[in-house]
Amino acid sequence: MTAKVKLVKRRRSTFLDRLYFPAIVTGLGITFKRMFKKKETMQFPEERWTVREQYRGMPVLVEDDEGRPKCVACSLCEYVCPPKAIYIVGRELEDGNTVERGPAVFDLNMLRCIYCGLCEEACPEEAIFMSETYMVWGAEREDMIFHKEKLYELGGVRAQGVKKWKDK
Amino acid sequence: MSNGKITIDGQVLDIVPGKTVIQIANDAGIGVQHYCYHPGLSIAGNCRICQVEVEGWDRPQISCKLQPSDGMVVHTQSEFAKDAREGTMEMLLVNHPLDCPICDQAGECHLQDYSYEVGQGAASSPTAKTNLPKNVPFGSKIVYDAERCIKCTLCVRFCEEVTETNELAMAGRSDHEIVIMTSQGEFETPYSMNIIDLCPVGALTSRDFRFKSRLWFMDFAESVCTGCARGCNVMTGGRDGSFLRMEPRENQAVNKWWMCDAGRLGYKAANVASRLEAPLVRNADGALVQVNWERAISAAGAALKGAPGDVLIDGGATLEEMALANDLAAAMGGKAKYAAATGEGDDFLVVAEKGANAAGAELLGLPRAKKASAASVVIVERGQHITASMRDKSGAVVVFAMDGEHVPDSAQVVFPLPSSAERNGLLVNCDGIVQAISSNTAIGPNNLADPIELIEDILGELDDGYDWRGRDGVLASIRALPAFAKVDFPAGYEAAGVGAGS
Repeated sequence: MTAKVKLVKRRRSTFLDRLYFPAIVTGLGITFKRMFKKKETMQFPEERWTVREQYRGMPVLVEDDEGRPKCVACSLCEYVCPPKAIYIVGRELEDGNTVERGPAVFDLNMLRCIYCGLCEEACPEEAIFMSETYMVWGAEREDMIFHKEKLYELGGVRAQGVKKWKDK
Repeated sequence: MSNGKITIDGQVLDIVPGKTVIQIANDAGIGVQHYCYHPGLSIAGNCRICQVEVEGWDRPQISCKLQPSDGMVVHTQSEFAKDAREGTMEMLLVNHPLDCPICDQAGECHLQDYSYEVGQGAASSPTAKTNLPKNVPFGSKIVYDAERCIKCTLCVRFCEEVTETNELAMAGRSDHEIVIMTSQGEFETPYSMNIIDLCPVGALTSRDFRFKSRLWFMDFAESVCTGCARGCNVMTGGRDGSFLRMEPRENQAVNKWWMCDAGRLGYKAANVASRLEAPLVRNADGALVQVNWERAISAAGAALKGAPGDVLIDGGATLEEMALANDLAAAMGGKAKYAAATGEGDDFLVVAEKGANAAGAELLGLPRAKKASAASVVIVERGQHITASMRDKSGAVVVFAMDGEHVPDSAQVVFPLPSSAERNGLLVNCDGIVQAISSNTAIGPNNLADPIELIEDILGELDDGYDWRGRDGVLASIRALPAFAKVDFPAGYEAAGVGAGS
């Protein structure tokens, strides 16, 4: 099957186009008009975005309002993570803790993370959230692997949501 | 004489005396769900998940206890049978905590599996779930969680019928029924950890394996326990180079469904920090330095050439390795001998002979080394067979060892030996049964050379006319020996091409 082809004749530049000067005047006119309109850009990093509620920034770990880490190291986020950015090793919590299990190691490699939000979606304990942090930097590769302590510090406290172990 | 016929899901099957409907169905490949049924234990019939419909009968029947009769027609997948199982499932989940995220059984839990098949999304019971004891130690090796327990009594029956030690019993009534230990402290039986495998849910989990890894990240391989000469069939499980657990695999001729606790926990030698990961050669300063494989092989050849010497091999080494050790000794004008420890046995599985392939060594005609003697080459896997004095007094110049601890000071060339979970080969157990161990690639350091290839390469260095045979060739020469004329080799071992050739 042959494609239908319609030939379009190319427009040649006119004498006025080739003069070059009228185009500059038109361009400067647009610039001049813009000076009195609302600005579309902002002075980053002095000025920052306020992100929307559902924004998917860097994933972080949260504690509940009683200061208990919510993560139980079930490794479902590790399993679901498409670029394999998460690495978890579980551990047994101290005696008398009804949750029994928590992470010994929780490494999040932000060089790999694609901000897809599947970890948040998979989490059965509502322990990992996509934060509003969109600026992640590091001087070395090791700096971009975020450990458990840093992730809890960034995550802070989320009182609402699953608190399965409260009344045990 | 025929015992009559039974029709299950349209398949007409023979009735076997002594077998109930679930056994006949499972033998025919019709999987009937079950928790409390186990072929090695008595039938309790208390979980009710194996209910089936029998034509002409008003009520669903539990197939584990149902005696077949001639002309019986059974449906396992009819609406009636499914309805019965759905109801049972809902009842089982009324008090189940559903803490799968923290439960180690997740991924191998029958309750999880059957929930997918016949479970409903929501329970119709309005009452709150009961709170029962969690994290209860049963001895030092097992953790019991009463909330997850479905009271199938498999563990209680195991301690009653298999070990006959009666450490466990049911206590309490109704919602508050739990399993208790009848005595304080440890289990009397050395087979207690089998109840972890028996438990269809996460009520009994291993203290040792607890929270180490999720099941779905691990790789498994069929292998054989090398703890003693019984050679219990096992599954090895590992992840990221670590050997994480070992569990028994059914073999009616050897270990049935069980294995001992010591064997199960004996995997840890593969995880020691001093594991060798590359070949080492002693330099002019007297220090062992890392070299590449070619350099190490030629150094080993140079060290062994021209000097007569013996080969001392571990009693846990495979048949192929022992046969090649014999050839190596012959090339050096010496003898090959093996060393194996003896210990205590019992009347169930553990035998006094600890060398996993001692019987194989005897068949090959290798003499057993009882005390320290000179040897040029030592192949040592774990320290229990070739003792510290045996290896230090041997004066060996070429050493194959799993970890640096087992290398004598006399060693000039050291080759890293993969553990028994990382090698392929054959072992002969105490009853003369030949069984295959197979390598689990998730365990141990990467890129360790097969000792069979290394020994052949050293033979090539010693003898310019040496003809490389590969694993299959070595196996063929073993089979040709008169001692192996009547020995059955595992079916399909060569056909499967386990580590075929080189």
